[in-house]
Amino acid sequence: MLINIKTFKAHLVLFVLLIIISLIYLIPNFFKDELYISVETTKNENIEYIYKKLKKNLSTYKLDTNIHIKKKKIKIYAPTIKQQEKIKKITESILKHNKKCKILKKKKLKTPKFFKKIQAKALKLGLDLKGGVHFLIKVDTTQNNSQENTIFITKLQETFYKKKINYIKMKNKNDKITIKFNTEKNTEKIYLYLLKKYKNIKIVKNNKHLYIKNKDNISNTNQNTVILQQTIDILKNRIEALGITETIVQQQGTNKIIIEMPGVFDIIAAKRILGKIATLEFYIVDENNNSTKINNVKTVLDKNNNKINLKKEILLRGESITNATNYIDQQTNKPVINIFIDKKKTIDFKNNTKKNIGKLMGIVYKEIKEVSNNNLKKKILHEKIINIARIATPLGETFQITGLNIEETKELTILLKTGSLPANITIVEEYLIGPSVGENNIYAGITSIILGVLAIFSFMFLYYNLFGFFANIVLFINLLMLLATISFFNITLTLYGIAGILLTLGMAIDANVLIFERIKEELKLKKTIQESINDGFKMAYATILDSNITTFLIGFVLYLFGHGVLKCFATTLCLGILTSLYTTLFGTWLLILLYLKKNTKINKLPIGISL
Amino acid sequence: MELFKKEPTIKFIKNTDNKKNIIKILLFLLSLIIFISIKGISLSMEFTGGTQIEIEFSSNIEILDIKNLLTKQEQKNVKITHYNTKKNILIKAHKNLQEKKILEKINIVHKKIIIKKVEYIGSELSSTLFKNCLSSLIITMLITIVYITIRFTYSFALGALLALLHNFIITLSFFSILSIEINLATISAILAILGYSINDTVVIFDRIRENKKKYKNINTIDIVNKSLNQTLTRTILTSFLTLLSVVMLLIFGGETLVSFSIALIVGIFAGTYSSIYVSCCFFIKNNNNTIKY
Repeated sequence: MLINIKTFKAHLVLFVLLIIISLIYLIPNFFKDELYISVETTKNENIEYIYKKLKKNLSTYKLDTNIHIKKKKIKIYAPTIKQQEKIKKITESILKHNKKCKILKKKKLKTPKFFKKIQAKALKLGLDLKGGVHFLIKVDTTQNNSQENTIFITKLQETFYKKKINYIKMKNKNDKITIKFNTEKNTEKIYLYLLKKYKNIKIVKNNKHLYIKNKDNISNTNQNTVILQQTIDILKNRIEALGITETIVQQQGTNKIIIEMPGVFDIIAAKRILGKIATLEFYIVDENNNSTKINNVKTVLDKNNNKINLKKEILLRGESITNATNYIDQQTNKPVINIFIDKKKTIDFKNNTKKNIGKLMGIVYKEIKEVSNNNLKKKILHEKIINIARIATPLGETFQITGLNIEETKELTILLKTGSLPANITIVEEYLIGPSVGENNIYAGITSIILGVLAIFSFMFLYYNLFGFFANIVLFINLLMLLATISFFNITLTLYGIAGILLTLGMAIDANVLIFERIKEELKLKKTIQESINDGFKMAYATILDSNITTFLIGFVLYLFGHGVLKCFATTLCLGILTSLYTTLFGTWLLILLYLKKNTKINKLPIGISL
Repeated sequence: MELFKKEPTIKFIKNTDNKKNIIKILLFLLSLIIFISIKGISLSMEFTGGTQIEIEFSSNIEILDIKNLLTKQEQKNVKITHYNTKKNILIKAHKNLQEKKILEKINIVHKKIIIKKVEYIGSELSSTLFKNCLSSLIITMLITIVYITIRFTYSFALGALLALLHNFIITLSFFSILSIEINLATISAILAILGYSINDTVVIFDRIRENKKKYKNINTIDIVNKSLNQTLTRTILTSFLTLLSVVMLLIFGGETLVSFSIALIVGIFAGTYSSIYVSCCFFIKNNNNTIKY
């Protein structure tokens, strides 16, 4: 047997040590986090007044004891996540007219610092146990193709110029480039040239036309990864700017992003801020209405639906805006956005505005909206002039703009601050789990585990007497170690994870049953007690390893190929098999040996045989 | 306590033509497959794509009341049912739904509603999911076959493969007959059961291998019967104990896990049966009446 008397003590010590470590890593679960709503205001608002107003109104909901004020910050405590959501809604309705107040959900971790140092955290609960919203977003990386085509076209134009070949027109649409030449000879010349030079394009020649398509429909993977990472960063920033904490923003596969926001229950508002692609553009207004140069003029509607002509050259693009803040102007009581420009672009902008002093500048708010029309979701570009102002002095690194209402101002500030998304995104999967559903699931999960374990315990004790009791202790330790491992690796536990745990417990007890049955068999063959135990373990050993390894392999396959629900189930299954292998092979053995040491002279093993 | 005081001597495999047995099993499975294809399986939204909204009202509500709030176009696309109690409504649609508009319409009339769940899955994602599940199933079966061939012999592996297919098809038929919806969790339950039943099967194979070495002059069928009887207690106990924990999950685990728990329970029964009666048939067929000296 792999454990002999010499190593017995070492193994015992190791086992006890592992139990203690598991317990330590499970302790953070007993510290309940403090949930509260924080109410903050801007400098000039009277916080005392807000506090009194809230306290008076909350008394109708019997919540006036939950509110406290400390250092100009108001906190309203909530016992559960469900209550926190309720209290937030109540607070928002009380403070409906105090628009300067910022009402946020917050959570304070109460675990002592020692645990934080050793990376011991409470079990991370999944969305189906806490409630919240989940999105799976697909990033449109095909836009990459048209960018590549633009570079390709520029190269082509250079080539034509060098070879002095005239082309009549060149179009780039839907990834396909169409070129029309003036003579067939030129078309043939270019056709052969391109065939030779570019290996990865598909060219079709038709009289004077050439149709070129980029064969690699798969975009450059490096650029895709960059775009995906940029999108992830921007989305993360947007969510943080909204004051939502504890979100998960992760890459999935090559072009998808998972976003999970526990504790957020307004799925429509969440979608709005995520998917919005909006920016500002600055133009000079064409006051003379030169109708001859139509190509240089762009027509946009202003707030009163008047058509305004703008000169097409953009003075300043949204991408050059590096930061934005918003506030309410004290004198006009209107919302103002303070804009900061990239230093490199400041000089150009200053020069341009200097050139145009005295002229009108139009600020266009540009948004790509998703519109559903008879089950078809389309993206349309929506432009609106939000303000026209005369340029009095050259505009520098920062300046202010007005013209939007307070909601729009707040949203636009966030969008400008976090930047525009580098690519289009579509939501391919979304779900919302309400807070009560989450709580019910936790309750269901815990009840099932406790009852399942109790049922196994009673049966084992009935069937295998004292040894059954040993198996029960080992099973319990197995559960502890498994939960501690899950906490330690910060694996999110969902309802399916709990199901995985239950399944592993069932299989763990199987190993014990195998051993005990084998020992019983050996005893019936009239072997001595020590021999029976040793042989029993030895013979059962190979079988236990075989069967558990197969299940582990299957769990591993599930982990690799599944995502979401399947992955969580597979993770707990695999980890559970590892812990149960250890606890059964070593734990049961240690307990039995300990028992034998204390009862050296026995004729009958209390293993449920009535010999 | 003991199930059997002495080693039982149940003749699991009778001394008949085992080729017939294998054909019988295959025909049975084939008929089940035909049945499933005709009756069809009810797949959850995760595989078909679509939108689903769960709303809880403050009092009992009639389906017609909700239906009348929607436009004709919307009425065509959705399916509205009660869910649990008469206060809960489930709105399902297989295409893109304007959930915001519908919720607004309902909210205007019924002020106090709780939106319990809103789910939307694009069809591209659902077909990818379906493919993923299928490949997981196939790979799982391949891995088990390879592993058993390495540890034992290929005739054992064939038997194991047949047992796996047996479990899979029986579970699927159960869901098909009772029209229970199969979702992602059900698939993970089926995969778990495949692993679990291999567990069972390997224990039996192990015993057969051991007995073959020990009793060299007993014919194969008797060895297999003896091994099955020796491991009978363990097989019954393990299945029973795992069943206990899964039944707890079924009763107390909540609605989300119902499909999952049912798959596990059916799988455990099917798995135990297949480990005893199905997994050894190829081995017997290939090794019948070989008496080693």
